[in-house]
Amino acid sequence: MKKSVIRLSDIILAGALVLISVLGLFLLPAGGTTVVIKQGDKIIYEGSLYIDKAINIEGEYENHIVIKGGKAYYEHSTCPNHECERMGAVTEAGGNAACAPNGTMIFVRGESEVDAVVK
Amino acid sequence: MSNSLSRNKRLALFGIFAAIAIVLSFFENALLGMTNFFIPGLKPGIANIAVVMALAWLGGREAFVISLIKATASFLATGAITVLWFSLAGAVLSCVGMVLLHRTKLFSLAGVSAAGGFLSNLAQVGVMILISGTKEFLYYLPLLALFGVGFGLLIGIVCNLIYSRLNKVKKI
Repeated sequence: MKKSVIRLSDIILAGALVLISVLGLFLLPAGGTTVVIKQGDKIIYEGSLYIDKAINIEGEYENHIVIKGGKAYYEHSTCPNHECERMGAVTEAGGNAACAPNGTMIFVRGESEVDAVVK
Repeated sequence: MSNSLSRNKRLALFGIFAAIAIVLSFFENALLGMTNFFIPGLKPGIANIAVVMALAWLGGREAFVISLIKATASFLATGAITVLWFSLAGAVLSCVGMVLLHRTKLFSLAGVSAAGGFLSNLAQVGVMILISGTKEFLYYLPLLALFGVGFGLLIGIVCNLIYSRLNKVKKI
């Protein structure tokens, strides 16, 4: 067996995979001011990030989502791993938070394309 | 290579790798409970060391069984049934990919493991979308894949180091 820690072919392979991932990053949606909360393919809530609101989603588990002062986040969840509570807030700059066990997700959407063109 | 090992030695090694896979899975889950990762499902996958070592020492079939054991262990560690589907899908796809890449003999364990990390995250995001029906989970894929390659590469390098040292043990 070869002694080397890493081979050139490894670097080429890893580099190619990194390239694919980075290309994918550019396809990520940018930020916006409209917050969208989805459960499965159903939109539960859609509204401004700057209108404070508390939303309860029932499903396999229960998510308590809070929209407050331009931030949207999972305040409390009854799911087993509570990863959603630790994911932080979605803001105008973008980002998203999700609760995989309950199939829910928070993300932001920009203004509609028509608005963008007018601007 | 692998066929130079006696049946008993292979059996003993299989047990050792299975034990390592289980212990590292539990260790990793305990570690994740303490940290604040911003992406769901992001983990370094250190338990993959056992799978990659099994692949190098014993062969594809054994590595596949170890990866199933690893997936079951991480399900038991978290207690969430969804975790079982995520980790099983990740284990199956990454293991099949790693076995095939290993067979080409073009790559060392580092490259094999990097591809494994990538594929594992690919499968997990796929299952996440299937289970939840939320296609926006796709947004996580690039970052998860990126981390998967990075962590996978590091783990593969560790495996290369371990392998060259363990070669001496083979003579016992």
